[in-house]
Amino acid sequence: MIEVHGLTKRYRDVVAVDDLSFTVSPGRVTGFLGPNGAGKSTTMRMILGLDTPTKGSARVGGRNYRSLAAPLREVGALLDPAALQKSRTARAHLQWIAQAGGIERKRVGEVLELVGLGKAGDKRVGEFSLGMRQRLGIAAALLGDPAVLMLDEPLNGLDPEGIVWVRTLLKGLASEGRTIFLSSHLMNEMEATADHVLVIGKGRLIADVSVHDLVRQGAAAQVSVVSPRAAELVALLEHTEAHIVSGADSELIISGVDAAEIGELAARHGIALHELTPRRPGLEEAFIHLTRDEVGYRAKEHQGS
Amino acid sequence: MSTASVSPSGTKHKPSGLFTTVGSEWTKIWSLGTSRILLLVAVGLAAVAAALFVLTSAVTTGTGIADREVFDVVSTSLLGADAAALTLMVMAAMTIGSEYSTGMIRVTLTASPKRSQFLTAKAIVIAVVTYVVGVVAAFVAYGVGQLILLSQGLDIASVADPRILRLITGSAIMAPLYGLIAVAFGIVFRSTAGGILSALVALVIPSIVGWLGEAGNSIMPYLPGEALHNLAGLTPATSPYAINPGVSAIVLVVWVLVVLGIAQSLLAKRDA
Repeated sequence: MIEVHGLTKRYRDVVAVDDLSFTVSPGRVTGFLGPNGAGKSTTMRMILGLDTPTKGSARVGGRNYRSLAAPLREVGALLDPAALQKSRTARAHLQWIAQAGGIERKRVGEVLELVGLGKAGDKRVGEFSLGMRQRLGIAAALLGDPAVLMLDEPLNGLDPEGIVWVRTLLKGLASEGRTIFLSSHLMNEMEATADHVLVIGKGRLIADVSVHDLVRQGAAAQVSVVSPRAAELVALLEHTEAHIVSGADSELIISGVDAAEIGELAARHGIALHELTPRRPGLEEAFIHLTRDEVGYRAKEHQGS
Repeated sequence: MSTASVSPSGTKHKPSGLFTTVGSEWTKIWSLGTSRILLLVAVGLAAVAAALFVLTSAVTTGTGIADREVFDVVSTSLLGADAAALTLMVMAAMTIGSEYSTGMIRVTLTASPKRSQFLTAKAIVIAVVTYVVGVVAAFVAYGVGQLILLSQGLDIASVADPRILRLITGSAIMAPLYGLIAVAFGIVFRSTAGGILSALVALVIPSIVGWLGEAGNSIMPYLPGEALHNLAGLTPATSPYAINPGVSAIVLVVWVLVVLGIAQSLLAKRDA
């Protein structure tokens, strides 16, 4: 369980994180989404006690990270897979982290096997690809067998097989009742990985919804219409709840009303429709839609399934 | 992927504290290829520098080794230990500087969130490693000097002589002294270069104070360089800089605690 309350980080004249409040619950994979620079990494650093918040608080398992007696056994984190000294072997890298966390030596071999680096353990990490460093970073996060796992962009640089592996691993860990929190700037990555998403933009919370609801919200929003008398249809739609998202010649994209309403309206006025399609935008579009105007969309609290 | 394998096979854990943090810093320094190489370089350089300084004694001091006190020859050979100390100082600066340049400091401070505990552990490991290697380098430098004396059929100095032993083991303190200064300022400036340059500044301060002439006499013994000379028995009792070796030891400890204190105050409040 991660609890963030009114978390704010202000640098000289930039507000990186702005009064952020959310809870990351155990037992599911929670995605932390936002464009680059939205404040995701800053938030994670504050949760880990690396950066001090200007205001607000972040708690892990009910406590401030820096006051945890055995932090690595409570929280496993991966912030930056490249944050290592290159002339050390993978095994030695995990060894010093394990020692700092009071974790026994044989656990190093176990996590190396677990992430598929069993044979590369004695290689210098400088020779590792980004994908291998991601795996090493995940191994380090798993050292303490923590109840909370927090990963910043863990899918970056992974090959398709690696992505499937991370997804399976995280879902398995979540099903054991652990809290899994991972960030990404790519919505479609999250679609297949997360159960729940927190969307932030410019440091503010935009949405706290289940992936299911987010797709549905986005899907309900738009209808694509092709008609030779599109201009007349637009005039008629002005009297309804409809909003014209885009209109080029004969093709319109309409939100606010559903396909049935548009079809009925067109039929009443004898306007022929060549195409009438409810659009089911992917998560990606729903996300762009949400983050386009961060200030306009305030947090809607949903308790997702 | 079976998730059962995620959990550890046993659940024996040591409580994490200063002891485990020291162990972690110890592993860090020994598992880094660059630091291992620099430790060897330090000892090798001590031998080479000792040979050079002793053999060129006639040129650099105007007196050949045959005409010098054997104590002075040992002291000259120990310039090799000074060369080793500078190498170890660079190594110390790199251990912390590369944590900042790679961003690994965040992994360190996530694993050891108590920052004073991390700094204490780092300082203990740096002090022990640089002093042990510094002593080895000093004995090597001394040995090289003695070999040169022997080869020329001159009298040699025995380590059984307390003055000689104090000179060797005392000179080796230069390594942890400047190593710790480099670590402290490596943290202050969050870089290897910042650590090295600061240690070099500390090294040349006595020379700058020396230009003041007599006005500098009262502060000179309390600067790290001269305090170290007093402790090693290099300062003649007649020198205006002479102080009690016990006092000079305290002076050195205070200097180290002050610079580490500066580093700790910044480390504690700054974002990592």
